[in-house]
Order: sequence, then structure tokens, then C-alpha cells
Amino acid sequence: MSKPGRLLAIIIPFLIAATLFIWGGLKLSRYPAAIAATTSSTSNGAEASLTMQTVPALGSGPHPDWVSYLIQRPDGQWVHTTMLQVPAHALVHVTILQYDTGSDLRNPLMNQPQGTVGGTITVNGQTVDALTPKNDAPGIGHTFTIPALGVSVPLEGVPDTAKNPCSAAPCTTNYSHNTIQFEFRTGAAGLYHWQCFVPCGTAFLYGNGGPMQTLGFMGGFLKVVA
Amino acid sequence: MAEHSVSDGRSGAAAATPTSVQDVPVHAVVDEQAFYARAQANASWAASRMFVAIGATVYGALVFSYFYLRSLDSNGLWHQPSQHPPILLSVVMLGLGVTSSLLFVWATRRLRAGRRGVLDWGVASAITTGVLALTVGLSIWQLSRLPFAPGDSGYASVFVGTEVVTIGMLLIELYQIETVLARSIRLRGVLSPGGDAADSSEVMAFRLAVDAASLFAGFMAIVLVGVFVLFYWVS
Amino acid sequence: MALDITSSPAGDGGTLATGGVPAARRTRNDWLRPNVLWGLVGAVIGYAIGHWAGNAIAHNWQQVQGSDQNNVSLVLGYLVGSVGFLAGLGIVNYPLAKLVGRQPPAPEEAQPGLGKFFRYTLDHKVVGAQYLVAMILYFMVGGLFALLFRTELLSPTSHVITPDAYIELVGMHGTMMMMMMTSAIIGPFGNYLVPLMIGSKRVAFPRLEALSLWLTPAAFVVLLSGLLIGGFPTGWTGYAPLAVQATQGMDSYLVSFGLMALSLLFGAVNMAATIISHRAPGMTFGRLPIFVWAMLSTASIMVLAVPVLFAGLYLMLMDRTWQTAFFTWQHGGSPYLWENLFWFFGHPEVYLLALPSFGILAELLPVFARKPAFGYRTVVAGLIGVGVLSFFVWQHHLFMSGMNPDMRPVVMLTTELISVPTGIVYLGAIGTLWRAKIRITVPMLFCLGLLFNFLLGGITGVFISDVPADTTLHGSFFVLAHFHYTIMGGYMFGFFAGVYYWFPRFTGLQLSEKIGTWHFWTMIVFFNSTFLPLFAVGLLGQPRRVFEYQHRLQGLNDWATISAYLLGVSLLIFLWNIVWTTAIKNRPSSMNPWHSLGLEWTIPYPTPLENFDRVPVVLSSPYDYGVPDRPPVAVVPEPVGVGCGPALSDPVREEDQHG
Repeated sequence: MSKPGRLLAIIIPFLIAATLFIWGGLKLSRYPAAIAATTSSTSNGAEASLTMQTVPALGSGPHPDWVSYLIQRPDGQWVHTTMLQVPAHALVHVTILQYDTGSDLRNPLMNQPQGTVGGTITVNGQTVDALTPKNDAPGIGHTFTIPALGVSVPLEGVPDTAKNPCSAAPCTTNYSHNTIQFEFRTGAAGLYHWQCFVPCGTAFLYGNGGPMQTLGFMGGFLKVVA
Repeated sequence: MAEHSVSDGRSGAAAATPTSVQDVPVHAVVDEQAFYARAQANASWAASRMFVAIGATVYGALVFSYFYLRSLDSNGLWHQPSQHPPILLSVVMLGLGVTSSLLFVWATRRLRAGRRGVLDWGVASAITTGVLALTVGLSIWQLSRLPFAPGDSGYASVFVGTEVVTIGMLLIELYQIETVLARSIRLRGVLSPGGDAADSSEVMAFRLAVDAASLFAGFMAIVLVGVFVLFYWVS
Repeated sequence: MALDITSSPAGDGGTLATGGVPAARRTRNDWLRPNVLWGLVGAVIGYAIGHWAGNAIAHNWQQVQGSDQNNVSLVLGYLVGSVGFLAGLGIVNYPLAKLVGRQPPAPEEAQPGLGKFFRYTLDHKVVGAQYLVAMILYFMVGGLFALLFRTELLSPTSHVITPDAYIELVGMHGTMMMMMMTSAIIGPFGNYLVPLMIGSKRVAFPRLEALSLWLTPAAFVVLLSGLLIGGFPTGWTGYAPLAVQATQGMDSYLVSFGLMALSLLFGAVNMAATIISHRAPGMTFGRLPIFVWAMLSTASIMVLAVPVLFAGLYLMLMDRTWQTAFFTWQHGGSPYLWENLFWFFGHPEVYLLALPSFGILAELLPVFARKPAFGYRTVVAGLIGVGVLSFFVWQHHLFMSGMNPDMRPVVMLTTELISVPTGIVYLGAIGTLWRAKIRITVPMLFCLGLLFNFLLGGITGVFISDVPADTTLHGSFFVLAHFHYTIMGGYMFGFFAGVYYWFPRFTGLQLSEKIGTWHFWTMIVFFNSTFLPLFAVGLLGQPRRVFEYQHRLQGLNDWATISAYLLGVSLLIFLWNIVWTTAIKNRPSSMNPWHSLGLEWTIPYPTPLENFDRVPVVLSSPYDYGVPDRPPVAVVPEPVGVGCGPALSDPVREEDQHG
């Protein structure tokens, strides 16, 4: 083979490999965009509002049967993501519409809200400091937990016998659901991991696989910006 | 080709290991055909035993799993009393598998000893092939009708895992015996009494293949008994 | 494949050339002959068939419907796709022909040019060269993964990749390096050189050897495909129950590791059988090159350790597909079962990597020290001792996994014990260098680098084999730095020593000493610069496989990351050396450029198809450097009636005799 031929035989595969590597690297390094909370400024400082929902099945995509969180954009559109953006040192008002059913907790302490303002949450308009056995009847569906901020909120499940259960996202308030509201304060800017702590990956061993392991379903990041 | 070989250091008293040019006799040139024929026979002997060692190690891992899970008895679920594969079918499969394997081993020994001809061996091999195929079929049928699910207990898991491996191993045994049988049919003119045995490389290759198949068949006979004892007796 | 032990050309009957390679068949157009492109076509068709079959079998299983993933179809797709790949290469023709009693077809005649390197071939030299290119490719890809996740570690809190992607990359890197690279020395150098070193015209089972090679690209593609389906979260160790819970990328890990296990087994059987049975007359075990001893020891470990890995992978696949419960505590299984099965292979695996590089070290040092190998028999005993003891130490990986505390001292002692034979091999190398007239060449530099790196890796290994130290450092970057010093610092430095040393044997070309020197010095500096800080990072508490860390560790992490980039540049220098040598400069090498006594250097380049004109008779050790009246290494007996022929080319003897 001539010298140019030899060089081409080396350069072409090298370029292909380099292209593949750069493409792969860019693809991997594309961090999902975060949905910014609706922010306002009051005399108490910055405030932000977030609205989310949990659905028993996404209904589309490669994993239509996986349980998932969705986030509402300021324009009211529901988006399948778990990347949230809130201001630093702000009071965050969170509303979660829980459309999924519940089950018994493996760790009963998870029924207590932690790290919220006042240590309480509001379930369907009623303020509680724990999901008591009475309220616990349908069980806990999920938690919204940000370990680094010490925040953990149990989300009461919809009864299995609910008349109008939602089967696929996005769910509207016409379907049976529980509304959970709470507030927490953010700290310094940074990226904070949040995760559901109720093993809800049905059909996976111990419920900890699938949506519990995959970013965008039962876990995500809270991007706190200055 | 010359008729003499230089000692390769492995043939005992034939000659000392050469250490100088003078130690290599003038007439001593290597008969390459004989050298590589012997090398191939040695290689085949060694490799067939290595493959048996590999198979034994795979079963060793399964036996380890059996006793490990049995000793742990995780969640009290090593073995539920109701979880028994059908004993009658298992005894039949054991009998078929062991008998056919030993039949092949026995026929090979007779062939090697020159007591009977290739035809005799071929009939035994054909029977072995058929019976082994039947055993494999029964094993698959049994797996599809077990009275317990694979994940019901540690015992159930090890049983299913071992059965699938055994089916794979029986298929390997079946392949080996079938291929040597097919080869014997192709070589019937050479191998039969009075045949042209001058083509020694064919005959040698056939013998090596038969020996390897026989070794593996003997190994599988032991394995089948061991598996039966483990799952029906010890448990 | 079945027990393909009669696959030797010599055993294949009348169509074969005497004692050698099968007689060639008529040739066809290059594109129509089985080659790697047809292999890819076969892989695609096979994958489609397997995937369809898996869907037909399991689409209505409750677990499949609930989890939105059909592991059965994916696994069957991978397996049938791999068989399709082999079929496209023409590898399954032989077992199929045997099945119907037909004369096994011989491969078609090798054509000159590069085409033969993209085909299934029974020539061990081509297989060795194919292995070399494949291993360099796998190594580079694994290295690129490392650079990607080191980039993520530039900052403790600002991220360029997600945590999922981070652990995927860590797992890919680890698996690529520990799994695919197990064959990095035994594959290219073992397959190419062992027959030459023992004076054989061929290997015992060329089809097994070729199969072992062609399973590696299948494993490589299956592993990489895992990235497209979410990767696997377990790292290279695949621990349960995480591996049972994981999404489908885990299947790619299990299948590819299984394919590699088969590759290792087939390669090992061929290697051991060749060494045992195909040695030339006079090539006694007492004269066997130490590299060949290392190959034999490595192959023996493989035969006994890899089946246990294979069994473990199979059990895990059963858990993920057939819903058995081997590793599920709730159903009578145990995740610790995986740890035992995995590490029974996993620790000997470390020696599967170490022994070949020891072999290269011991093989090369006498050449460049110009004196006999120090303590030949003791070093060989050390190699065997390491192999034997490697089976008694695996439980030290379970120190922190709830094992009975009373058992820990026992395992600690066996682990420390293995440093004795390892130390013997090391001291043998030092003894060879003692008072020697050392020639500093690039291969020698890499040998010296290996000695330096392995010293650090070995000493820290003894340190963390102590239970108290391991209890503190388990799962930290300290352990990571330790095994990178032994594996990259030892194994890969040995690999590069081998590449520089035997490149003329493979290609007839001499790699540039100048560029090679640059490669060595950049590599040794930036290797140490990358991994030395990680000992400190580990001591300060940074855990492995976590994409965030404490702010105070950023300086050390940044240092390590930048050094890793420069280490990557060093490897680019190596690639440039190959390009420069093969495509631009094309500098031919002399027949025996290092003036070695090794039998492999007595043959001209290009190496004849059957290596030697006639089977040589070996007369002396390959390490008798400086021995004044030693006989030639080997002679080639003449055809009958002519008598004993000339010694094989032995310039070193003349050098020794004339001062």
C-alpha cells in the first residue's frame, strides 16, 4: 500500500473514532434542563412556588408503566422531568398532586414530615405533623426527600378503591388524588439531589429498581441558584 | 521423512536431553509427522481433561451455591416441604442418562481393546445418541411442569439453575457422540476390518475424538448421579 | 461451541498439509468470503431473531409487563446475535460440518495484504496480530471513559454529567479494563509467540484460538451497547442485589462478561495444551522461557477460576430472566453468594493480569542485562506459587461484607502469604539486574517502570490486606490507587514493554526509540502524577464510585484529572509511534534487533506460515547470556541422510565468543 493510502487507512478510522467519542461525550454531558419555579419577592425575602404531580404510570415513552414525578411549568404545562430550579435562601411553596396509590412503609418514621416550615404538611387542606394511622389507611405512595437539606415529606396514597383513578400522565384534578402542600427553605446555591424513599419500582426486586434508579422518574436534582 | 526421532525430553530413556550439537546424532532428524501426531494426541488428552475440569468447576460453583444457600436458609426459605420435582420422572431420566453414557463408555473400551468392531461400537453410539436426546427432551418437559416457581426458594432456584446447566452439558455430550458417530460412518471404509487403515491421520483423529467423548460421557454419568443425590436424597 | 478438541489440522485428515495448516481451498472474491462485514450482517440478523424469540417467549410474563423491560428478549438477542457474528465469519461451518459427518472445510487460502486480518484464520501469528490491535482498541476506549468521568471530578459540585452517567462510565471503564483486557498479554503475545518460543510449527487447537479472539469483539460491542440502554450501576463487580434490580444495561454486562469468559477458557485450553504437548525436542520444562511458564500458569488459573465466574454470571442472568432467586434474600437466596462466586474468580483475575507481565519482565531483563536470568527455577516456582495461592485469598474482598470476624485473620494471612512468591519473582528480576551491563532501551525502560510501579502497588497491597487497614480504607480511592498501581503500573507497563520489544517480530518494523522514549517518560511521570494523589484522596476519605466529594479534596482531584489528561496524551504518543513506524517512516528492523537468545528471534521476517522449516532441536537455555562456551540455542536437523544441520541464527553466540 502506498504511503498516502496507509495514512488514509489510519486517519479515517481515527477521525471516525474521534467523532464517535466527541458525540458520545457531548451526549453524556448534556445535563437535563431544570424547570424554574415561579418566583416572587416579598418583605420576607425571595419566595418560589413549585407544583408537581406523581403518576402511577407515565403512559408513554420507553417506560410507559413506570411511576414518575412530573413538574408544572409556569405556563401550566406538565413536563416529564425531575430537574427543579429554585432561588437560594428562599422560601419554597410546594404543591404535590398525588395520583398514585400507597402501601405500608418499611420504615414507619418515614410517615413524619421533616425539614418543612413548622414541621408540618397540609394534606387535602388539613395540617398534620405526621400521617397518622387514620390518615395512613391507604398507605404512603412516595416521599419527596432532599437529604442534604433535611427535607422529607410523605405523600399519602390514593385508596386502591378510588372511583376515578388516573392511569396515565399527565393527570388532571378530575381524577382521584391527594393534594399535599408544604414549605421549606433553601440554603446556599448548589445542586441538591432529591429522591423518593418509598420503594415503588413495582416489578423490580424490593421495589428499588427501574424508576427508583433512573433520573427523571423517582429522583432528580434541585438546582439552587443565587 | 526419516524414521528416527530426537528425544524431546519426555520420552524417558530414548536419549538424554541434547545439550550440544554433538549430542544430536547424525541420523537423528525429527520425523515431523510422528512428532506432531504424538503432540496432537497429547494435546487432545490434556484438553479433554481440561474441559472436564471446566465442567466440574461449573458444577462445583452450583454445589457451592446449594450448600451455601442451604446453610444460610435465608428468610426460612431454603426448601419448602411441598417443593419436590416429580421423583418418578427424575428416576427415569437418571436411568436413561447414566445408562446411555455408560453404554458409550463401555462400547468405547471394547473398541479400544479390539474386542468388537466399529459396527458394534456404532450401534452402541447410536443408541446412546437416541437415549440422550430423549433424556434432554424429558428434562425440558420436566422444567416446564415443575410444581414450584423458580424463585420460590433457594432450593427451587438451585434446582432450576442446575437442570438448565445439565441440559446444556447433555447437549454437549450428545454433540460429541453424534459427531464421532457421523465421522465413523464417513470413515467406515477405513475403519472396518480389512479397510485401508493407511490413512493414519484420519484414524488417529477419530480415536482422539472417541476418547474425548468417552471421557466426557463418563464425567456426565457421575454428574447425573451427583445431581440426583443432591436434589432428591440430601435435600 | 461444543468440546471442540479435535479441531487440530493434524487431526483433520487427508486434506491437511503435513503437520501444519490445512490445505487451502479455492479462493473467491474477497468480499464474498466470510469476513468481519458478513459477521456484522450475521450479528444483526441473529439479534433480530433472538429478540423476536425472546418477545414471543416472555412478552406476557407478569414481570416483563410490569417492568417495561424484557430481559429475555435482550439476552437472547445478544446471544443469537453473537452466534450470527461467528457464523458470518465462517466459524460455525466447522462444528456444523462435523455434525453431519462431512469433512470439515478448511479455511480459504490467505491472501497477501491486510484482508486476512479481518477474517477468521487459523494462523496463530495472524490471530496474535489481530489480538494486539483489538486489545489496543479496547484499552483506548476504556481509557477514554476514564477521562470522561475524571472530567466530572474536576469539581465537587458543578457537574458535566449526571450521576447515572457517571456510574455508567465508571462501570464501563472498569469492565473494559478488567474484563476485555484480561487477554492483553496472553492474547497477542501468548498466541503469536508461544509456538515460536517452544519451537512449534503451530498451536494445538487453532480453531479454539481463533474462536477465543472473535468472541472478544462480540463482547466489546455487547458491552458498549449497554450505554444505549442505560448502562449498569454496579461497577465492574456486578454486586447483587443492585445487579438484579438494575435496568437492561446490566444484561449487556452479564452477556459480554460471559462471552469473554468463554473466550478466556478457549484461549487458555489451547495455550496450556500447546505448551504441554507441542514443545520442540530438547525444549524441556527446565529450558522453557519464563514468559511461556507465565502463560502456562495464567492458563491454568483461567481453567479453574473462569468457570466459577461463568457460573456466577449465569446464575445472575437466571435471576434477571427466569426469575430464580439465587441472590434474593426474601426468597431463600443471598447476595453474598454472588460476592463469593465473583471474587473466587475476581482475585485470581488480578494474577491473570499480573503473571503475564511478570513473564514479560523476566523474559526481557536478561536480554537487556546481558546475563542469565537470576534464579530461573525459583522464579518459575514463584509464578506457580502465585497461581496456586491466588485461589485462597478471595475472601479478603468480603472483609467488610459481614463475614465472620474470626475468619478474617485467616484470610489476611493467606493474602499476606501471596506476597512471598510475588516477592520471589520481584527479587529474581532485581537479581538479574544486579551488577549487569544494562542496555537502556524502550522495552527496558518499561520493565524498570514496571518494577517501580509494582513496588508501590505491592506494598500498598500488603498494607490493605491487613484487616484494620482494610476496614478503614475499604471502598475508598486508596484501594483504587493501589490496584491501578498493580494493574496499570504493572500489567500495562509490561504490555508496552512487550509491544516495543516484539513489534519487530510482529511487523518487521522497528518502533522509533526516540518517540518511544518520550512515550515512556510521559507515561511514567503522568501515571504516577495521576494515581499518587489518589492514595491521599482515599486516606482523606473520598469514596469510590461517587460523583461528588468534599470541597477540600478538589485540589488533589484536579491534579489527578489534569495528570490523567496528560497520561492520555502519552498514550497518543504511543499511537503516533505506531503510525509513524508503519505508515510514514516504515523503518525495517533487523532480524534480531535486541540480540536475544529467544528462539522466536531465530526466524526471518515475514515469519513463514509454518514458522520453522523443520522442527528445531533445542540445545540450551534462552538465558545463557555471557556464557562463553554455550552451545547454540537450537539446531535444525537436515533431511535424512544429510545429518545435523546448522544452528539457527545465533548472533549472540558469536558476540559472546568474540567478546
